[in-house]
Amino acid sequence: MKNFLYALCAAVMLTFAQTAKAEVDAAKAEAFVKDVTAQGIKDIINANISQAEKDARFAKLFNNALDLDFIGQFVLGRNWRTATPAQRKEFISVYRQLNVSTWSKRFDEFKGKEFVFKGTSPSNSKGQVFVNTVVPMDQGEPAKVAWRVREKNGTYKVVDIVIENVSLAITARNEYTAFIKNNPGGLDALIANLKSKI
Amino acid sequence: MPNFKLPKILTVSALMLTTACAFNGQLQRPENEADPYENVNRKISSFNEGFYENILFPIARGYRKITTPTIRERVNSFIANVDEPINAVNYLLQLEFVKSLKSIGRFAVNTTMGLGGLFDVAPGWNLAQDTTSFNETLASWCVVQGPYLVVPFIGPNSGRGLVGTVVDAAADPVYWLTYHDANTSAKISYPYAAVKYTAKAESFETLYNDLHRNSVDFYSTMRSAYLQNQQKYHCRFAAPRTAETYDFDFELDEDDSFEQD
Repeated sequence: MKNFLYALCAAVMLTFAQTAKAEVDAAKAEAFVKDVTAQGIKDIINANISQAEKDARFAKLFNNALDLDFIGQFVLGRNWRTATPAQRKEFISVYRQLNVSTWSKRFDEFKGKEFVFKGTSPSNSKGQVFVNTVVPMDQGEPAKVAWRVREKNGTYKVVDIVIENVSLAITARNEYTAFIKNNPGGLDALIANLKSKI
Repeated sequence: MPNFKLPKILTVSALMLTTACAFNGQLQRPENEADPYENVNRKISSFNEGFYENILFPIARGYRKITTPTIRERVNSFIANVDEPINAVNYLLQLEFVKSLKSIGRFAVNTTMGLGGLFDVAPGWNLAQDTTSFNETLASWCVVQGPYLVVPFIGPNSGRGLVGTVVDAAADPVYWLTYHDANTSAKISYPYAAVKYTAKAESFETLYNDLHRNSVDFYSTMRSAYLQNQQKYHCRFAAPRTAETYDFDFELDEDDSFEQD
């Protein structure tokens, strides 16, 4: 009886999952992530160019590949609603710069590594799909990296990167929410703190 | 292998089974992560940060200075090989028989062809590394995670995870092969534990510094990352998953969207 209930529950959830994912083209999303990572490795990591040129190319690729307006709004959570238009604009701008500089540094350490593509998984969020990859390490088990891709008006953008089951967007959202809650300066203090890290 | 422990563990698991099954296959946005001991946890967390930054990482850097990357790889391989029987037992307890046999195979191949575990040659035999833990064993039998805990010197953990950590540590072959003799134990077991801890710190330092530098509330970052990572475990009596464990609701309210001018 219990098993039957579980099966029924699973069937219902599966039906919902299928209707939700129907609109995004998983193959196109995967091709998009393949293209972005290949560009990053070929034109930035392995290219014989100056560090300044590398940084410039990385910033351009990163800004094109990721929907940082969407991510920035998501990570502020309920604090987005109460933020003034000026605060919103400044937060997005600082969040964008911080991410570009952080990931540029992290990407440098990616030299000699590669992404192995492992297919896609549906998402229950509208117009979104996961592109699954693994990164073989010098030693030990490969790292699992999933890219949450969102389709909007025919264009694909990465909206989250999930490393070993840890979503960067959720982590940032929890971190920023805790900071704002515990800090009398609120969102302005958060913006100032993030600025100091760029 | 200490398989005399097996029935006892199974009894305990069966008992715990009757209590609760927190895994229900339902996905929710992991917000307001439960943390009933946040005050104490935050204190232990800052103690750990001080300990890592002032004592542990300097030791790890010293270790890095007196070794080459190749030596460190040999050390890490050796430690991973010593841990392999623990993986085998845990997989057995999870009823993952193929994975358990693979761990035994890896141990056999690396101990012999890999010169006592110094080299990980098993992937060449189609036996890639695949580690597990007693925490995962408990999770697979639907033992609830319990509260989030920060453990002195160790870091983020949970009630269930702490039990797992203690059981895995006690199951360490170096520990149980020497514990009957205090003298051997002091000569082998403790230095081995110290090297193991240092090697772990050495490989963790870069990531720690990266996360610390970019975080506005390091405690929350670590908690969120730990709790999300734990969601990957699956209770065997729960309904099969219909989505990835990291597929939470990722949408914005339409009327709220960001307008750029």
